[in-house]
Amino acid sequence: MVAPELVKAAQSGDREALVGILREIETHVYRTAYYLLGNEQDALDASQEALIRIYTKIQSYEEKALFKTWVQRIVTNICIDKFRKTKPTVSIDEYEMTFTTPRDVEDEVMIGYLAKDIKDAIEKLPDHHRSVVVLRYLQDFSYHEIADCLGLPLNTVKSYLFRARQQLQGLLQDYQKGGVRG
Amino acid sequence: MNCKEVKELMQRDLDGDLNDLERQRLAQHTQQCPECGAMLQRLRMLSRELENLPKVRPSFSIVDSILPQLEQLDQELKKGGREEAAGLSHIHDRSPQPLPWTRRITAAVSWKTVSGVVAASFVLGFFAFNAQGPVRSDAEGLLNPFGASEKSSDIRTSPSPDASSTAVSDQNSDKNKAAQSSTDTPAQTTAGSVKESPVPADNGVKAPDSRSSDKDAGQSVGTPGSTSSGTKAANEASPGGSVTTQPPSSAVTPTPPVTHDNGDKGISKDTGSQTTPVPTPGSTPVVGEADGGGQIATKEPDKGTPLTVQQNAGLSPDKKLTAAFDEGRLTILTVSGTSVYVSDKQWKETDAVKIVGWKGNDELTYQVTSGDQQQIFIVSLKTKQERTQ
Repeated sequence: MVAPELVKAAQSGDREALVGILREIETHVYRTAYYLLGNEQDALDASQEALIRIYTKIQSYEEKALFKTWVQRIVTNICIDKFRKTKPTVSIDEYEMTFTTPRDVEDEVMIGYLAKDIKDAIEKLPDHHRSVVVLRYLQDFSYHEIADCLGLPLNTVKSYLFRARQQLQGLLQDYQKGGVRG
Repeated sequence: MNCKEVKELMQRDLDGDLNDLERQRLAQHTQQCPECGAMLQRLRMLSRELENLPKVRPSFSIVDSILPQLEQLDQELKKGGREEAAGLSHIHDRSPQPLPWTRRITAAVSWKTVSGVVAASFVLGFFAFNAQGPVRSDAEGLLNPFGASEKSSDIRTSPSPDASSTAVSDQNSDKNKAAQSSTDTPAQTTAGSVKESPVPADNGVKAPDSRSSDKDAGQSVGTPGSTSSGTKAANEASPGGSVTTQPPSSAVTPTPPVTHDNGDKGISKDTGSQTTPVPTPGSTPVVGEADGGGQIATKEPDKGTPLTVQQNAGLSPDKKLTAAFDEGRLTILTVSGTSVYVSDKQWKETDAVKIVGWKGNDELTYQVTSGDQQQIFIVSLKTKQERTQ
């Protein structure tokens, strides 16, 4: 992801290096925010906030943690805070967005539907379960990296992930029974 | 193996976490138990779908969108850092320490307050410092008649056993007498009044005074408040008027070797030592006296209002050039006051500027601290250019 030398340069006051790092991580930050918050606008807001925080707190990063886990901790914390504040909102827009996907290739549409189902299902998970799933599947983090990032014991991470998948497959089963797919 | 145990195996299977034996047992169970078989299918599909979730990207560059904000943050930090640095040198009563820089952003409001206080006390300190000049000049004026009526010139006091007094005692006594007897300098009156105050350095003043006033002017550039400190010393000392002779005073003085040749160089040396952070506090004002006297004598007390305190190390090794900050610009002058080099970089009041030293007689290093950023510049007099280090 980000070269350690670049991080060191940024920490020693190299502003260009720091901005370069932000550019390198912005997509990863946004992706986590998007799946944790469930919509583009909140994800953009949270990403901006996270990147600014990284910019101002780069000095506090210590090498004992991986840079990517440090970054993801910042963005998940911001998203969890944000989500708590705006939890009851249900986004209708996304249905419209999904339906504007090209219909001429049926498979694409089907994948779109399922992805949409999963995304909705993820949103229904409790904060930490959702974070674990997002870090595992969107950031390809190992159990250890997730544990570092969220400050949770390894076994807790595993149990959150297992329970989350269990819950998701249950929800998925319901969706499929409901006739969306299957 | 029951279904509950198998569910654990299924989960670990998804993460590729099973050994051969476990995988085998899982396969066995799911073949026999249709429920678990279906669940494993669903979990595998779910896992695949999760892996294939769209890798969304922001629709525009988020970094670009926050760049203005980041620049603003930088400026706030710089400003804060500068005020902090400037505050250190002037503050009378220390205001509360600013937050660590990482916390300033989150606590922007309180930081602004803090920086305001720091800035205010800096300004206050600056004016208070400068204000001493006029006040003390007045006081000196009041004392003049008293001083003039006393005919006891060429007097030494012992209270400030110091560089200048030794300098005087070394070589200046003859010159002093000459200076006292000469009446053709425009600074006569002032010099006379200063003369009355039995402060050792006043001889030091008159010596160069009669020799070259230009030199004084050149040297006095870049010494803030030197007049005030000088006259302060004079005023404090003059009412006392205790009379001693020169030899005893020099005997009393434990002076560093450098100051002994002050007599030779007159003011130029004094200036050097005056601006240096002198270890013994008592000696500073007295050395300053020499300089202050010089300024009065040459009627150029206002030449240059330097913004920073540290002007040490400004004199070149061959003592022909002197560097100082004039209105925030590094300026190199000859001892006769001719400008040799003026930097095109003008630093602000809040920047801490410091002359590091000379390398040979044509290369000068100086350092500027703006906020938490420190820059070092090297001026080459050969090329008349400066570069950062």
